[in-house]
Amino acid sequence: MQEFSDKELLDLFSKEDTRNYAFNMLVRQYQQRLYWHVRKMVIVHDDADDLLQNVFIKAYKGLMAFREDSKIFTWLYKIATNECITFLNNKKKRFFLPIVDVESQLSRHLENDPHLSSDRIQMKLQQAILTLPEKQRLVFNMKYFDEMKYEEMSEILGTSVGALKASYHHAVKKIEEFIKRN
Amino acid sequence: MNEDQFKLPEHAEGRQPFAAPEGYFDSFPNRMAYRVQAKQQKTQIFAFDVLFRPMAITTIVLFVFGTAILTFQGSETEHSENNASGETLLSYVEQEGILDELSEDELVEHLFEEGVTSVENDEDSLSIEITEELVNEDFIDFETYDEL
Repeated sequence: MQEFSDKELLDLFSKEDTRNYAFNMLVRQYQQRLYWHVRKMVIVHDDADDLLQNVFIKAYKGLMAFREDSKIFTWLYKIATNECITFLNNKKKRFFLPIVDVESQLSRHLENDPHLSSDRIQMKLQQAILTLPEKQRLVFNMKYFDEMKYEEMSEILGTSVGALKASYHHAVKKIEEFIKRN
Repeated sequence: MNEDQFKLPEHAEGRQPFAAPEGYFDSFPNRMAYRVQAKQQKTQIFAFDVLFRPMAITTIVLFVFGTAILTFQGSETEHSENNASGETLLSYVEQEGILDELSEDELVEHLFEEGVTSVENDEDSLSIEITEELVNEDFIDFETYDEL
């Protein structure tokens, strides 16, 4: 698939006759990375699908006003992260459940998920990640799975690089404890 | 603690712990395109509604007011056209029994005001009664009454 630069995408999007084409290219270019990010946060495929659609709808609405202060991907990743946090918070409010219950609910879903790769170690790791607080989970996923730089994570999450490093360190420690216990 | 002390399972680049349904990423861009199109159409309909609905409501309100005003004026015209002559009025009040509620003085006065003179000239009971009244009040004497 042909990769478009941010500038090319924005130029195509700014013209009415090529807008839909540009949007289609944008979706094709970023859908997978965004989907995996959302999926790791909400676990359930259908929820991830809904959220991903919302992300791209918001992108379509906001792309005209997009200032090239950051990369399009960073901007999209930020929208996706906010969507995930809002979704999880709403879920907690809707069921009047404390955080732990939502996480254990997701953990139970993991065991029955037909789309989870059959790797036993991955299953344990995902269960361990679900025991982390939301922000630590985000940081861990971004660093470990998406191999994102701390600077980029800092831009997306609005947290200092130092705090992110500390957060990742705590996350790794908790995951280690969980795996040892289980 | 150094993070390297704990060995996380090695993560191969691009490898994901989950799997998406087959063909999901092939169909997703098209689904998005449809959704954006639907959203655009919805926005257009909404914009049409926002612009034209107030105009439609205003037109309807003006039409209703206009019709009401015209109807009201029409009924007024009907009243003015129905200005009855004294004779018609007399026959109407007789039919309705209104005559019984009026004193003769009032009736005579009213009929004179209306310019109805034929009633005095008619030899009907009302005329006789009026003449008798005039005699009783000494406005005319009996001789004159007989002549009448």
